[in-house]
Amino acid sequence: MSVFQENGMSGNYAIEIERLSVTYDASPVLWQIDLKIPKGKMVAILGPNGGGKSTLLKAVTGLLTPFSGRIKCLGKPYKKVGRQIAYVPQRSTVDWDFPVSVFDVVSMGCFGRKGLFKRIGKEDRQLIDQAMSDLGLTSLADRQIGELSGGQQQKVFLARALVQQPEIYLMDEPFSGVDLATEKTIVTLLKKLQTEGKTIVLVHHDLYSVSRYFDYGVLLSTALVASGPIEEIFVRENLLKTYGEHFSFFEDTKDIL
Amino acid sequence: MTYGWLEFFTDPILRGPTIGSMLMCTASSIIGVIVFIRRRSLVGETLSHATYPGLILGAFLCSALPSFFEPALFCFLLGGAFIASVVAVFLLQVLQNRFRVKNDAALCFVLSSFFGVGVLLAGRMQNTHPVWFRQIQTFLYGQAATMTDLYIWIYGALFLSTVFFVTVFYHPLRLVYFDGTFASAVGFSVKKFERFFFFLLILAVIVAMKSVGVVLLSGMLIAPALSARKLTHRLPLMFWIAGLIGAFAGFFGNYLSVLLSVRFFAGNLVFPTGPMIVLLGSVFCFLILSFKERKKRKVPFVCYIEDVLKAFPEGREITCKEAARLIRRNVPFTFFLLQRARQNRWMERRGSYYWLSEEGALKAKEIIRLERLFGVYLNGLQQGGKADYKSASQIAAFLREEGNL
Repeated sequence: MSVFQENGMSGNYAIEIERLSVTYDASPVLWQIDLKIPKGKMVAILGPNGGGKSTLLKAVTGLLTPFSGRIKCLGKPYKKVGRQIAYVPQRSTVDWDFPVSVFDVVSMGCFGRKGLFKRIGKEDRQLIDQAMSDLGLTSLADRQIGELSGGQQQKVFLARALVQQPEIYLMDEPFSGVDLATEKTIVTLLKKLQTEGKTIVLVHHDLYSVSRYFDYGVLLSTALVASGPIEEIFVRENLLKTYGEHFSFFEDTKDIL
Repeated sequence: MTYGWLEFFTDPILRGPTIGSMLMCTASSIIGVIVFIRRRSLVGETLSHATYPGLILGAFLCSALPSFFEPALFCFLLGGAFIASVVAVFLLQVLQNRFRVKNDAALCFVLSSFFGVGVLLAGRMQNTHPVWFRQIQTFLYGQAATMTDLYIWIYGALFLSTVFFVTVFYHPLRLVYFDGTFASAVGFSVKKFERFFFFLLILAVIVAMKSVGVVLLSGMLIAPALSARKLTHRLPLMFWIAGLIGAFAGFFGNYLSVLLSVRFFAGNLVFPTGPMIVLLGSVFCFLILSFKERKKRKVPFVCYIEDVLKAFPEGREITCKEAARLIRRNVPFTFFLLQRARQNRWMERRGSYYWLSEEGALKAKEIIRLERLFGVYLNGLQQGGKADYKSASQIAAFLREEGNL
């Protein structure tokens, strides 16, 4: 009946999307997307502004109700496996004056697994400490969240995702407003997670670094342009289709490809 | 007639208002923290004003009852207020979601239209039920003095339920209000908490109405929370501090109101409790704000005098007014600075003209040189230590050679 059952490969995919369409008011943001993301890959979602990259992540995490289509994570509907997926939203979505410390934010990662009314136990405590020291946040634990620099803020949200101990990481533009050194630390950490078998999906903007960081790509421009291993899909023709005329702004395409 | 502190808690007439107001203010301050961190301060203002028509409709309904007794009227009033604010919340949602009205415009619209309806109805009530009309007017600006022991129990219950809600839902509140996207991504219903928030807010409005009054209520919601936020960035501590400030304002509002009205003015001049409470909260808040701000930018006073010396043209005589223009400060302050400079023998004066003394000119040169050097040094630090002088000690050595330090 469905694509999943026909080939019986469900077990190997982290995310399977079938005929997904999302609309805001009357205009489509995502149109008839069929997409399969294999497990254990580092995936870049690429596309122009308004191409539906963030929307795709939001649809996967159930933050948006799709107009039509089906989404499965780890072979099951999102609601059943939501606790195994960490979503790191764009930094601009939270209130930076809010009275929480770095430790508070990182410890919020526990609630996804445990429910809201459980206390933070010894094991959780260890996880939190581990995540903070992995990202070099230990000395900042008591800082109010708004007193951090952009890169540190991003690290805090990554630490929170680590504490969730998910199978899949979904991150919305984690490198925007982050300096190169921080970007490297984050990438190194993500690669380490990948070797542990986790799937990492990033919305990414910088075409120059794509082939260095990722091994799988999704090109989106309302419709799906291409998806697959970076070497296969990252060709001039696809990029032109995705970015349209804007692609010619990237003058030396040789550097990218 | 004088009262001791303790009598405010034991005296059968005084204890009702005192304990009642304290409970109310603490409860509303605690909820105020949530309102404040959600940046919904204006919603409190709107909902409190929106209760006014509800109060009057409640009274009209009560007048339809065959017999009259006071607790029933009170319940009708609170019930009317509750329903009116629920309707206001509903209207706000409709305006924002269905008609795409911006938040601030929607709030203004609801506030003024509801209050307007209330004033209209009140005009009618003034003719038909003048006694009740006066009683409802007390809800506008608050009147704690008529509270009896019964009210202590009513407000005690409201207070306890507030504390209960906040402690039980502390983690969800923090999670959902800090990062709603994350919260719903891990599977918590943000919509439910939005409703819960409005429920708490309406609870706070109803709790505080009697003591502080509809018009002044949002002050009591926000002032303690704002002070607490300035003092700490820890949410649990914020709740405690705001609650304490609320209790403090509640008690001293009553205390001062009685003291001033009875003792100092012998009843000739009445100091109503509600405004006293809100004023105390605001004064407290203002003190904390100014205290915190001053601590931040504390410039050593001598810097101001040095500014004058630096800006002063060498070998010329200028008036105080001209000097003020040079350093871009007001004339009296400049005058004061010039006098201080004279005390240090850096400045001399004849008539209304000032000029730099020999010592002052030297001092000015020294300051300028030091500032430039440190400028170079700091600039070098920022650019990765490419400065002429790589450390503070090198600069100091240079200065010593020059004989300036």
